[in-house]
Amino acid sequence: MSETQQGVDPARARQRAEAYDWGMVIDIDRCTGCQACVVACQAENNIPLNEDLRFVEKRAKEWIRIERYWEGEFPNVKAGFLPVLCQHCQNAPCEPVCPVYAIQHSTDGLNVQVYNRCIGTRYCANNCQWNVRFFNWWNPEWPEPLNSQLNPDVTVRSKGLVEKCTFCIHRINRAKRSSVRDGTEIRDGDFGPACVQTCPTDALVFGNWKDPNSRINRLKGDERNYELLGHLGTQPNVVYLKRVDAHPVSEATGGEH
Amino acid sequence: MQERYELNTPKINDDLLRFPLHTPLWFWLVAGGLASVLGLAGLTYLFVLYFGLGLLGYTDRIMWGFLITNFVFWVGISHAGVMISAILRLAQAEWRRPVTRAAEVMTVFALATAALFPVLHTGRPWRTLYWAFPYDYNRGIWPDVRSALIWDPSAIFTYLTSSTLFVFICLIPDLAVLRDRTRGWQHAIYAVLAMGFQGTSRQWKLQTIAGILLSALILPVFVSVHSIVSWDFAAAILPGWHTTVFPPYFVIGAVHSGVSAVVTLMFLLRKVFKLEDYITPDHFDALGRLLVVVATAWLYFFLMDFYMGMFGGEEAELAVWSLRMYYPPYNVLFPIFIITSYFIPVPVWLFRKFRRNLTVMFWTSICVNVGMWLERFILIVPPLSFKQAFTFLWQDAYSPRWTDWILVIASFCLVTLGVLLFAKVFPIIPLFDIKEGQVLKQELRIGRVRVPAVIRE
Amino acid sequence: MAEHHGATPVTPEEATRELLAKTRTVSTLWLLILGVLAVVGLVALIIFAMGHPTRAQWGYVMSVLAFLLGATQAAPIICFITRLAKGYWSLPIRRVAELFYVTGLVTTPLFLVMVAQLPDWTNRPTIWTNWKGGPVFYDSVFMIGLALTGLAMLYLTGLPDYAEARAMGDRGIRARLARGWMGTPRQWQALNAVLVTLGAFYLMSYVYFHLFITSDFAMSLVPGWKSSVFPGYHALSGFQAGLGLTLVTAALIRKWMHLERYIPMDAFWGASKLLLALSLLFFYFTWSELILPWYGRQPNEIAYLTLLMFGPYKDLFILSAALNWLIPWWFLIWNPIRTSIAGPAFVGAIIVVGNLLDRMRIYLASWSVADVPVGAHLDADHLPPTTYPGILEILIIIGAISAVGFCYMLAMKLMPPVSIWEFKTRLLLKVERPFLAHHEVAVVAKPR
Repeated sequence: MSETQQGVDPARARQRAEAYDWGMVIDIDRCTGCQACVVACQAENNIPLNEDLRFVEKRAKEWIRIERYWEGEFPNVKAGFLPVLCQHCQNAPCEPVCPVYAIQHSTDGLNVQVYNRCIGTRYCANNCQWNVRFFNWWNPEWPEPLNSQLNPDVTVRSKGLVEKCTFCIHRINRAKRSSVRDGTEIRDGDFGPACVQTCPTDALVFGNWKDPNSRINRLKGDERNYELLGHLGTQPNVVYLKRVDAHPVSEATGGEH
Repeated sequence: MQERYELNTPKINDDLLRFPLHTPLWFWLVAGGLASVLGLAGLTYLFVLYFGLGLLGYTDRIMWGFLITNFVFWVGISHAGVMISAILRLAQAEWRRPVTRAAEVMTVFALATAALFPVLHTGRPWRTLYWAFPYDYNRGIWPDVRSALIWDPSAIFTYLTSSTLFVFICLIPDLAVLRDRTRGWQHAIYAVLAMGFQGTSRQWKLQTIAGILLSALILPVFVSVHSIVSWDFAAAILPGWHTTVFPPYFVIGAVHSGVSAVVTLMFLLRKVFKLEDYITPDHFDALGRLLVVVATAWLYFFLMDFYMGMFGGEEAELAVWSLRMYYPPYNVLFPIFIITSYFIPVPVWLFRKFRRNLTVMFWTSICVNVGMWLERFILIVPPLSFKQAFTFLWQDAYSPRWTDWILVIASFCLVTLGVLLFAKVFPIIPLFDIKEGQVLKQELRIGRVRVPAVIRE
Repeated sequence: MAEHHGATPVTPEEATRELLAKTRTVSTLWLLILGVLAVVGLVALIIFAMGHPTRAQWGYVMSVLAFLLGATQAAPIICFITRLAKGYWSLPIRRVAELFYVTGLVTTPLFLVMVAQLPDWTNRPTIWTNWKGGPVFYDSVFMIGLALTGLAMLYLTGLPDYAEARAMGDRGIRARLARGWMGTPRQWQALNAVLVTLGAFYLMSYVYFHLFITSDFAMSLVPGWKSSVFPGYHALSGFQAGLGLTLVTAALIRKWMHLERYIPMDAFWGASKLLLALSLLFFYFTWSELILPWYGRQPNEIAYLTLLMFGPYKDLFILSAALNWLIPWWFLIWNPIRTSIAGPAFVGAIIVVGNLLDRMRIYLASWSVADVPVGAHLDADHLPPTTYPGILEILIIIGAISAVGFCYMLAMKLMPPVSIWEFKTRLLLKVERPFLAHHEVAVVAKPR
């Protein structure tokens, strides 16, 4: 039975809501550190421009960032790359500490930041152990003609708010609305966040944990899988796959692999 | 029966009411100076509101800095009032008498100042002001009681209300004296505030019972307030913050810092208002002995935090401790803090000669508070710099900007101005307490020695 | 009013004679009973040890040791605290508390037995970070030091009383113990200074010793248990039990030895206020320990919280919270109960029982985990089951407590149950005087 423009069957809507648990698999072996995902995210989500000064004063906003760890001694040096973004934890430490309920956990497994409720205490940002929450220290400015590039689907956040990766929730919502309008099901791989769409090596894979046939469920079965800071018990929705090094340059590496 | 009055009632009234009734020039100069610093801070804050919190020294790792350190510091100072008024009143310690009201007033203003800072440091303080309160404002969304930041306003305002009530109840007899000694509009105001107190035995009984009841009831508040502030940090999962000893550690640290602030305050009061008959070396001696015990207990809890950090052996927590002790700028701040908080003052206070030397007591008490401000800073900021083992992100230093400094300095001016204005309008040393002390004062002869004694009910 | 505060007037000479006579009325029957129970306990311990018990069963022996290290070892601390703060209300019960210094004679051997039961320290956390022999060596040194300091204090506080006995004609052991004490002003000054200094040393050693006990004997054994308030909690609840035990003992001795004139209600009244504060602090520390791991929600935190509070030992936890906090608080908030003798004594007894149960909870829980392979993580779903005591464990517990009681009664044969010199001090420091027209008030001296 397909819904028409006049109304959506609530039972079907609920069933659709509970059918999703969005997550990602990040294969570190494939990541080349090209930072295309970072740029794509910045373009897609109207993130303020990260000028030099922002990096110097350590206030650069990168909802997804590539961490680079050096291994080995010169001249046998290698870089290891680790993309880190909001893990959308099921048991998120950022959620219970917000005094005004600006952080919710949606039924499709997303950790949702409600901008118009946020009063900017930054307790959530302190409690996030992956450091993926960012605070707007200033009102954002886009000099001409960059303001024409802003994405109309995404809010522009004013100063005083905390923001973070949303798994491009606007794209998720668009996919859901289209499926209702067209009467089709969302298939695995139909859409993804901007970072996943852009990644040239397919290191980032997006999907639905509740779909047993989704690509992320298949990738999770790989023996290289682990969770970033999994010992904290926060049940992140993002799974990483370890890098396999055919020619290691050092015993110990700084950082998680 | 021997009645010994060294200070008789007319003299007490004259001495202690001199400042409320006559205004010297220096008062206008000092108050003016403090008010202008406050004005500058107000202007600074308007800039911050307009441009954004980017004007302060925060970074993307270190999102809580000077303002929160200052908040915890002032809540700490505010604990002196209860320590001295309530606990010493219940323990019937005679030496508390000149000190109680000044300590309580400092509490009230320190708390009020402290309560400002969590509001100032949020991104949208105009919303913080009303969304943090337990009311849904027709949105159907109440504040989240799971968050430690919501317990803070409850704790702080409970303490503020009960402290204010306590100050007021103990002020009533003195307001009556002031009412009887003034004319005109001042008389009218004091008359309203004195609430018809005539000094009948029934009124005295009620006033005493109210004071004792409030003393007993304010004690749980005293313990809970700083514990709740400590849970702002301990309830988070950051290594270095998430440790169970924080509640007693913070409370004892608050008593340490607060009682030292009372010593500073008493020295200034004695000097400025020429109260040598009322604030004697005996009082500083007793406060010094109390401080030795409190400081040693504080050191114990600090060491528990340290030992248990080492004990767990978690990489992240060990990294935070080595940041606190070995990396700049904390490698300089940490030894300064530990020496000024404990290892200079306490050995000095062990000697009676130094405890009775008022200048020494004044400087050691300031030393303690410098150390305790640094302690809060070292406690709060390094864990934010490191968190877990993402070494790519580790940021060592927090660089405060001019806005941070002005707001912090202005808080000191605000408390000082508050206490000064209070002392101008109301007597800062409780008249009736001193008079009661004179009546209860006795002397015993044991052998050839005359020993001071006191009447116990 | 004045009547119920002071003891019935008695002259110093009368007091000296009467109190010294009390040492001869120590009940031989009870001494025998306690001695037999102590020996039975020792035999039970030997049989128990020879039976190669599991580490979980050793937990019972550890709990009684921890109980004694708290309640009996901490009882004398009230004397130091009140001496420092010039709180004269405690003068009548100071000797009753000080006699508990004998506990070092029982706790030291028991401690050495238990330290031998600690597991291998490879990969176990300990505050003695570098040297793995640390727990055995340093902890034992502290135990012996604490016991010896206590015995020294016991001797010193009894010194003026031995001199009194010698003055009254005693030629036996007490006269020899009195040595050169003449009661000159310099000797008195020296005695007070030494008592304060040694008392401070004893208190600090006690507090730090509890850090070692809790970290080496409890926290190290449970993977992931790292609570910085726990050592403080352990020391404080030990002190609370010590004060409770002092009150119970004082009430019993007062009744059985007819010491109504020497131990007035004042002492119980003052102690009950402190006991109320301590019971509230018990709640405060326990709450802090509960709420923070609960907020952390990390798997290891949930695991040890379940182990200690909500799992196999939940009943003990609830009982301990009720007996250490809820019931004492509910009784002691009422003024008529505080201003009586039976009230604080009864509450003290409840706290003592509660403390023993609480130690059982802690040490049974942690010692039952010690068999988990080192380096493994505790899993909240697979916790070791509750360990129930056998007859041997019960006999050992009774025996250890009786051994302390036996030593206590032996000491009472030597030292009067109310310290004569402190009683005389009290007579000097507190007088009744007329006040205004129709009243009499108590006047208390506050020497500088």
